[in-house]
Amino acid sequence: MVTIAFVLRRLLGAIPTLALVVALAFLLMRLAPGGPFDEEQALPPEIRANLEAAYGLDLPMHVQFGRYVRGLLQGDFGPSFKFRDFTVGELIASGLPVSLALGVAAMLLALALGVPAGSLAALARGQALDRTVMAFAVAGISIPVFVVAPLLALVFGVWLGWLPVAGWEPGRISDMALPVAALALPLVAFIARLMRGSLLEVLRAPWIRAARARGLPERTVILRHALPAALLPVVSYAGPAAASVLAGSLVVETLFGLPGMGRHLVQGALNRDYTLVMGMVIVYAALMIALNLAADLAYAWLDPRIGVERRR
Amino acid sequence: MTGSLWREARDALLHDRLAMTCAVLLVLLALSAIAGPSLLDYREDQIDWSHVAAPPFEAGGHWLGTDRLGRDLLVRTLYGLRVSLGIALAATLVSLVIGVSWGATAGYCRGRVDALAMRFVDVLYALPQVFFVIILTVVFGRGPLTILAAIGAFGWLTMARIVRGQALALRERDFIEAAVVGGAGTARIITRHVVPNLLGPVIVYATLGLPQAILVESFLSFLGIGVQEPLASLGNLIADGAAEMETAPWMLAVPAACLVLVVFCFNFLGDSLRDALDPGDR
Amino acid sequence: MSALLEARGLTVDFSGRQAIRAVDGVDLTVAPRERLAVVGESGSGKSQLLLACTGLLAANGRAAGSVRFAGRELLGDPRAAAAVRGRGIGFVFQDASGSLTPHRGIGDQLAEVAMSASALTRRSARDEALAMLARVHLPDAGALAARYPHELSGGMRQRVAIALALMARPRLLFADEPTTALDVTVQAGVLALLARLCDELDMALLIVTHDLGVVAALADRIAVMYAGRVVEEAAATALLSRPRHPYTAGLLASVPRLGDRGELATIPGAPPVPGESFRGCRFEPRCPNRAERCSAFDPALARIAVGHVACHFPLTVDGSQ
Repeated sequence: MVTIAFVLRRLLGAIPTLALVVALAFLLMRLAPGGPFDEEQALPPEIRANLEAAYGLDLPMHVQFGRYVRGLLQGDFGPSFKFRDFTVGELIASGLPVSLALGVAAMLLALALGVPAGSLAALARGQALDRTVMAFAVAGISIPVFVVAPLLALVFGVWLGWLPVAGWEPGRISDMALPVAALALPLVAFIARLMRGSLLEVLRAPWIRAARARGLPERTVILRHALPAALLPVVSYAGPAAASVLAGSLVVETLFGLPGMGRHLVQGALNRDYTLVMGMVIVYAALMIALNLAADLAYAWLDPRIGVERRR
Repeated sequence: MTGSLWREARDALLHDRLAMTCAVLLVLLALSAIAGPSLLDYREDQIDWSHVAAPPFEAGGHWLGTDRLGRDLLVRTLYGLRVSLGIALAATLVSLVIGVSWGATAGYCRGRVDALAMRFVDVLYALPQVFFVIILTVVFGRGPLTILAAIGAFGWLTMARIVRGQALALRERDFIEAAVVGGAGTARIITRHVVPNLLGPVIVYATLGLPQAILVESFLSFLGIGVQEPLASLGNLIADGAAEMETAPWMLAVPAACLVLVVFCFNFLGDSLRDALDPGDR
Repeated sequence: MSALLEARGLTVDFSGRQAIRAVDGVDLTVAPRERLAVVGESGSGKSQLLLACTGLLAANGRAAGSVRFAGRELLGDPRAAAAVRGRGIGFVFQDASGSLTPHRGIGDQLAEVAMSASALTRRSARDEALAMLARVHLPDAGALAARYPHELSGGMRQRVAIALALMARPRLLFADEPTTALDVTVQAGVLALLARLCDELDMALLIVTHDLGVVAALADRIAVMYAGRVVEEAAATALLSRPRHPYTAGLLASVPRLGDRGELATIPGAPPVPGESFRGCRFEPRCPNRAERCSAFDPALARIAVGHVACHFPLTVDGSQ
């Protein structure tokens, strides 16, 4: 059951994870052989030294870390090494709304399609509907985002010409349609499979039979007794789902040319732009942790047995 | 796992025609990847100026067409398969070794060792894998070796969890007790008695872990932070194909189909293996 | 007086890797306000009997024959069966924890039945729920209604399960081993509750159990099942004092009585595994009175003075063959 204590406990548990992410990212970055300026044309040593001093790269590790964390707490992710005119914070801020919109839309679409599909497959077990849905599902999880996305773009964008394949005007749904669909498809498949298995198992539970034995109409039994219990594994999956959506968004944003964080991250990785990559990773990690937290809370809300202190 | 359980599983599997088809397909694909390029006329970096961006089945002996630099697509795809499979296999092997030893030790030793070991796994599990893999490629440079290390670094987590669960259960079995009474040391018990009996689930999850590894590697290669040109990986072949898909759709279709086929077969086979070894109600 | 529930030639088969016949031709009647106890060991098919009547068999189960409730045929008519559940026949399961939906409050679950059975408003359904909780002797009904099943003890859960079964005011209550999963100290209370409720609410009772002690206090009539068949059926007092079937006699003899000395009497051998096929009487391998006839011909359920018995050589009045 969701109590204040439960929420606080979860929140406190999330902080160390985030701290770990920051520390790990920082450590890995600073361990890198060579520095961010290696790929520039040959710099005279004094200029390089000046640059490094300007960015604080000549200070001892723990001092750098301290400065970085202090900056983080103030919302300052440092300057981008490659995009000299922008700070990482600015780049993040410009890309975040797009990526969030993309990700949230994809997850909502995946739920809206996957849960009913899986449920119907379970209820029609063994029949044609079940087999068709499951065949699609297996195909869906075997086809990665970076194959689905170009295919969708090809079919719906180029051949049929229904939807645009590039560009982004805030608010234009048609711009979002293909990217969101591409991102959502593998997720729909997974959720459908998960939902089907879960509902089938719940329907075998003795309390479902007992509910029927009370004379409740089948629709009530399915909707108000079986489904909420069957949703639990799907809610648990929210965490890994978010991870896969985040990863997929990198592909989708790159492919469709969307001005989101993902594209910046990929550029940063290609350019070895340390601060940018680090900043992005931290923001993504924070998003995922937040989502995991929300999923935990949703789970506890759905299943009143969770969150209760149990004596071992 | 008793001998009879193996036999039951093998029988169940052999009767599953779809699973067997997948297995056969995989073997064929692997063979083509290994031997194919040497049997075909063209080399993977060989440029055929007279047939640039040619569709499949056109003259010139390019069965599946060429890419925009005139390189034979079939050969490049097979090469890409070789690279992707190779990296995935190596990475899965690494994950296996680390994961099995970690999990078996944690599950068998229990108590503080177990708690600590699994806490470590939990913490790593919570971290966003893809991003750390990306960081690693930024830090250590792009290329097959980095990818391998990166995938292996996260791939062992699931294996460790599964193995630990199995080891916990195994610990209670009589033959373990017999070994302990017989004076065998912990390490010996783990290697000689615990691990061999875990093989079933290990094989299943290794089979399921391979397509995961292939997908991660292809994903990175697609974005350009994995395997680099001119080396071919299914991922960067797909990226090239995506760029040209309006004018030369076969450039996308061939490597994509290959990737999907391999991943699908591994997934299906792994699923069937899992069902065969532990029949639930699918 | 027309029967409330009437089963004729009821068979229950399960398909699967091995075909199993759990119930093999059972005839049973329950009159209004009557209390029938069906007694048998596990595997005798008694639980499947109840499930078949209410259309709650597992997916691979098939019921054949005839089951009529208040004259309406239930078998082969899913709509009739659905209409009878809750409103005609209430069901109390053996495992109370398995009867309550874990993620919904007690009050909610009770009110839900009331609303579905008789189109009440939410408010009146709530009141009904509270009233029923009081009826099953659960204290502090208001607070209890807000709780979840996992917060209750086993005995309380069983009472809630009974309350749930009664919410739609059934005329017949099925109770499948209602006390087996409970502590001994709690059992008597639950049984007394069942008896009282049947009186108060004008209900008939069909209780299935393997425990003769349960039966003695509660039942008007007793039917004894063995290997999917009814082997004896009679008024309770008659059956308990003068059993006609050797199996019944064996069951009674194996109940220890205060003051008994010496070894416990048991019936040698074990009951047949469901799915076994027979030739001749099923009880024959274990019967102390078996004869040639018994292994060759299956005795039919024959009418006798006080009820029915299926035996070639039923025990006579003085208990001998």
